[in-house]
Amino acid sequence: MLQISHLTHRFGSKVAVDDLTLAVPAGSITGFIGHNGAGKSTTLRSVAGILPFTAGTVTVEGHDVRADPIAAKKVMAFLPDSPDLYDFMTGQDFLGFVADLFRIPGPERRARIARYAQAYGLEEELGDVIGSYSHGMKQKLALISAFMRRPRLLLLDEPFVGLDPVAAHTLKGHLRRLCDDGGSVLFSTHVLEVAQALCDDLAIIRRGRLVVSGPTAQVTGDSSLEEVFLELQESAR
Amino acid sequence: MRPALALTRVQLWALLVAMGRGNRTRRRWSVGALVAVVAAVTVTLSAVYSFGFAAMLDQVGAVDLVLVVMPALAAVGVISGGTFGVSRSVLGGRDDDLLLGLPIRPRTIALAKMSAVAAQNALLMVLAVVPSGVVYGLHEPTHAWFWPGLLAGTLALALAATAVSVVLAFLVTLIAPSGRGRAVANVAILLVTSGVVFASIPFSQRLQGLLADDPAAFAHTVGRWAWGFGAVRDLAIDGSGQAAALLLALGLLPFSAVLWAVSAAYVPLITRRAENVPALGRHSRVPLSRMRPHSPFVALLVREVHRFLSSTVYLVNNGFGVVVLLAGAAWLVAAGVPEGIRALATSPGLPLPVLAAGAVCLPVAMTCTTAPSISLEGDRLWIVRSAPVDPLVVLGAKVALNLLVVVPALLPISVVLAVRTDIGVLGGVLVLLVAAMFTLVVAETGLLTNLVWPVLDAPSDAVVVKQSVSVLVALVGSVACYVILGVAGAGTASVAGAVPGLLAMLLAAAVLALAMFRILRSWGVRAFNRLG
Repeated sequence: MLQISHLTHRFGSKVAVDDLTLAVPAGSITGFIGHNGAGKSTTLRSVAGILPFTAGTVTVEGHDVRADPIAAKKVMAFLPDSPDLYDFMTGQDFLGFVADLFRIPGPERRARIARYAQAYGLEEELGDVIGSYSHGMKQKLALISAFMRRPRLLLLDEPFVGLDPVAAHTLKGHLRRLCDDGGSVLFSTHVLEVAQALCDDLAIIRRGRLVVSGPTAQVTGDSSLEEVFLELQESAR
Repeated sequence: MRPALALTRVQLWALLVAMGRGNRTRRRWSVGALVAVVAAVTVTLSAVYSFGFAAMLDQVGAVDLVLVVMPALAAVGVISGGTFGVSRSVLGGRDDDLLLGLPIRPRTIALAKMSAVAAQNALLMVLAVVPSGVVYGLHEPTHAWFWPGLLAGTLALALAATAVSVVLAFLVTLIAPSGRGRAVANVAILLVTSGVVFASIPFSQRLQGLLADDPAAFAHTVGRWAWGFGAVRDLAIDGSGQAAALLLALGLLPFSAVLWAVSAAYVPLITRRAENVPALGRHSRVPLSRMRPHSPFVALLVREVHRFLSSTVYLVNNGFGVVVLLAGAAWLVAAGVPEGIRALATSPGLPLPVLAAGAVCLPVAMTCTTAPSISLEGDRLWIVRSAPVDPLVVLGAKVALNLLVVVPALLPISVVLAVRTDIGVLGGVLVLLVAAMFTLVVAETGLLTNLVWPVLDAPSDAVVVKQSVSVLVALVGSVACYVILGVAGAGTASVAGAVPGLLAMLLAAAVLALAMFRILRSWGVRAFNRLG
C-alpha cells in the first residue's frame, strides 16, 4: 500500500528525516512513534505530497508521490495535528468543498456526511461557522472530511488530541473498519497505550532515523510500548 | 512596569516581524529592508508635499502652516491605514490565550498592545513630519527647542491617533458579525469607508484650490479648523507652554481613556471575538439535500469568494477600486467628461478613448486580490496541497476571484463611456477589453509576487493584506504595467489614432498576461509545490 524508500528531508543544514525506509501493508494500522522533533510530521507531510523531500521515493498504491502526485493524493487522506480549517465556512460548506476537490458525487457525499456526522455527534453543528467550533469539534470535522473520501491510505498526525472519549472510541472503530476493507492507516501519536492496543505494526523514529519497526508484538515483546520507547531513548544517549 | 515593557517590546516586534519572511536572520533583514523602504517612501512623499505647501504659503508669510498641515495629514494617514490592523492586534490576536493565562493584569496586556501600535504610529508620523520641519527651517530661523518641540508634539498626536484607531477598530468589530451576516456587514463597511473618502474629496479639492489661488484664505481656513494641530506649530516655533499642555492633554487623555475602556472590557472583548458565536441557543441547520456538487475549480473559486467577503480588511482594501469604478460611471452620467480631461484629450497621443482606458485602468491597478491570497492560506494550506488538484487550478481560482471582483464593475463604466462620451460603441468595447485584460495582468502580478514572498504565519489578515512585501511589490508592479500600457497606447495613438492606440494597449496587456501565465505555469507551480 505505502512504500517509503530512503526518504530524506533536509531543512538547510538540518536533516529532519534521514534515509527512512518503511512499508505499510494493506489492511494494517501502523503507529508512528517518536519524541518531539523526531521527524514524524515531516515524514507524514512528505508522504502526503505536501512537503517536498530531498531524496528517496514514496509510492502509494503504486503511484509515485513526486512523479504522479494527483493520482497518489486521490487515494490518500491526510490530517495534520490540530488541523486549521476555514473559519469563514460552515462545517457543511467545508465538507462540500472537500467533496468537490475529491469529486465525490452528490448522493454519495450526502450519505457519507450524514453517516459520519452522526457517528461523531456533529450533526447539529454542521450549519455553524467553523470559527465557532471548539478544537475538538474542528478535529471531528477534519476526521469526517477524511473518512468521507473513503481513502485507501489514511495519514493522521496526532488524531486523538482534543477528542472526547466517545469520539476517540468511534475513531478507533473507523480506523479498524477502514483496514478491514483493505485500506491502511499510518498515524503518529504520543499516547503509547492507544498505539499498543490499536496498531498492527509500529515504527519508532528517532532524530529522523527509523530505529525499529515491525509487528507490534514483535516490537514490544513482553514489555509495554512505553518501556520499549524509554529504553530506546536511553540507549541512544 | 517590567512586564509591561517586555510585553510592549514583544508586541512591537510581532507587528514588525510579521512583514518579513524566512528564518530568524533572514526575517530580520527582510523586515529591516521593508521598514527602510516604507521610511524612504514616507519621507519622500512628505518632502514633496512639504516643499510644495511651503512654496505657496511663503507667498503670504504663512510657511509655518506646513507644521500644521503635515502633522494633520500624518495623523489621518496612520488612522486610515492602521485601523483594521489595530482590530486584530489590540482587540484580539493569536497570543490572547497565552497572555491571558499569564499572571498579568488585562490592563497591562492592553497597555502593551496599544503602546506597540502607538510606537509604530509614532515612527510613521515622525518620518512624515520631519521633512516639514526641515522645509520650515529652510525658510525661517529656528530656536533650540524647535526640534524637541516638533517631535514631542508629533508623539502626542501619535497617541491621539492610536486612541482614535482603537475606537474605530472597536466599532468595526462591533458591527461586523460572525457567520452569515458577515459578508453584508463587510460590504456595508466598504461602502461607508468609500463614502467618507468620496465626501472628503470636494473638501480637499477646495483646500487645494485655495492654496493655489488664495494662500491667505487657505492659511485662514487651516488656522481656524486645525487648532489642535496648530499646537504642534506653537510648541515647535514659540516653545509655548500652553501648546505643550494642550498637546499633552490631546495625546494622553484620549489614549488613557481608551486604554481604561479597553482594559475594563478586555476579557469580554477577546472572548466575544474568539467565540464568534451565532445567536445563543440557535443552530442553523442546512439540509444536506441542498448540497450540490461542483467542479474543483468552482469549489476553489467559491472558497476564494467566501474568504474575500468574510474578511473586512481584505474586502475594504481591494474593494475600493471597484467602488471607484462604479462611482466613476455614476459621475459620468451625472456630470459628463470634466473640462480638464477634454482639454487633455486635445494633446497628441492622448485622444479621449486612450485617456478613458487609462482612467479606467487606474483603479484596476489598485485592486489586486491575488497579492495576499497565498499568504491568506496560512496554516490551512495543507487542505489544498493534500487534495488531488492541479496547483494551476488552485492558482487559477485566485486569479478568477480578481476577475470576478473587477470585471463586472467595468461593464457600467464602459457602457456609460460609449453612450455619454464621443468614444462610441467601438471605443467603449475596446476600453472594456483593455481594462479586463489589464485586470488579468494585475491578478497575475499579484500572484507572482505572493509566490515569491509568501507569509504563511502572519498573526492576522490585516498584516498580510496591508503590510506584506508581496502587496507592496504587486502595487509597484501593477503601476509599472500600467505605465507600459500607457506608453503603448499614447505612442500608437500619436501616429495612428485612437482605435490603434487602444488596440496597442490591448496587445501590450495581452503580451504581459501571456508572459506571466507562462511563468506561473512553470515556475509558479513549482513555487507553490515548495510551500510546506
